[in-house]
Amino acid sequence: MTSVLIVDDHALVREGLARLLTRYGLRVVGRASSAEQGIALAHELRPDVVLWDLIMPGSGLDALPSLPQPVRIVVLTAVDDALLACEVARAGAHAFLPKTSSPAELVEAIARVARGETVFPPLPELSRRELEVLEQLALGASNGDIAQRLGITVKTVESHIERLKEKLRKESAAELRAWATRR
Amino acid sequence: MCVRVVIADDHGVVRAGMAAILSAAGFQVVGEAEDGSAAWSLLRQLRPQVAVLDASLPRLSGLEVARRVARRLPDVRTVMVSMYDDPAWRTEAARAEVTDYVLKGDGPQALVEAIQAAARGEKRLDSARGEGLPLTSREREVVQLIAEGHTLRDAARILCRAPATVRAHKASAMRKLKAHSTNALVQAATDAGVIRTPRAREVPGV
Repeated sequence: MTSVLIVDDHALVREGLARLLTRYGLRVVGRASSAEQGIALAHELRPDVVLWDLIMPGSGLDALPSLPQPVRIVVLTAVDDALLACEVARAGAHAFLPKTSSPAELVEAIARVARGETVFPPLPELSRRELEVLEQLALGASNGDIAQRLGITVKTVESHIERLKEKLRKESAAELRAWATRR
Repeated sequence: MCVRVVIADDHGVVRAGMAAILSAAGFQVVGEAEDGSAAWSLLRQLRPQVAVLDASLPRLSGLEVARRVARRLPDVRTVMVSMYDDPAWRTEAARAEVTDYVLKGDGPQALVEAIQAAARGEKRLDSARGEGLPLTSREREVVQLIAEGHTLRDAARILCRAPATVRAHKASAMRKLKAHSTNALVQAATDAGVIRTPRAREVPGV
């Protein structure tokens, strides 16, 4: 039976997850409400899998590398963001799941990670130019501004935006802009 | 007596977790919704005693759903659940006749007690005297949909309003927040706490 440590600063979420996982036959061996407490408990309890929130006291992302080595890490977060998933992978996690996932998806991810697999959304590879355009969008620049600042034509800016929409799975330029602004 | 409850939260695992907690506490969870629009149609259809609404639901926030419930479904009580302890949201919630405002940081018992009190008809939220949010409910609805990347035409469809009305709400929101572009509007509304969505920049190190 897979043992799980739940680390989330919201008591309601933590208890809900504990009930849910228990119902699916997993063994919840511990609960922690901060990154610091989570690391201490992971070292003490050595669970198979740690379920890890990112937005919590003690910097959830920076603390990931401090988790004990053989433990498998599933990051479960409110921020569904392909680029953040890259960061999380680099910090040593084995899975990245948005909290919008269903219980079945979470249980499946825990099982796969416990078997030694990794579970990440398709990670987009952005070119340097695409990153620059994205940065400008985040600053609220218009297509004309971006063209001028990067020394390219508006038409080229538009084609970069088209590709960014595809790679980042955004429906419209407006959604891409809104997403970039929030980042 | 078994209290019938509907839960609305866009986080599937969190919603299922709350459902598990509430079932274990003896409530009957009759429905679940993952956004504000879905919650509103489900509530009209099921008429539960209590609706548990996440504050930051997509499409229609928990506040806007609560406001509709107060106006159109007087038998349904609403309890708001939020990640944020925000006085302006509490005030708006009280104005929308929400009976209690529970933080996700509080334990399960707080939610259980809030629902029990709501089912008894108690109001636990302070009267709505504090400072609310800088936009009207109609303006907030439109700004939230714009921030989610919907076009004005889509927003009008989702809200069942004329595109011209939606455009007018957007214009007045821009005036109030002194924003001169759509991007600036989204930014200002986010900064003013009008829109509550978790952002990547809240994650340390990103």
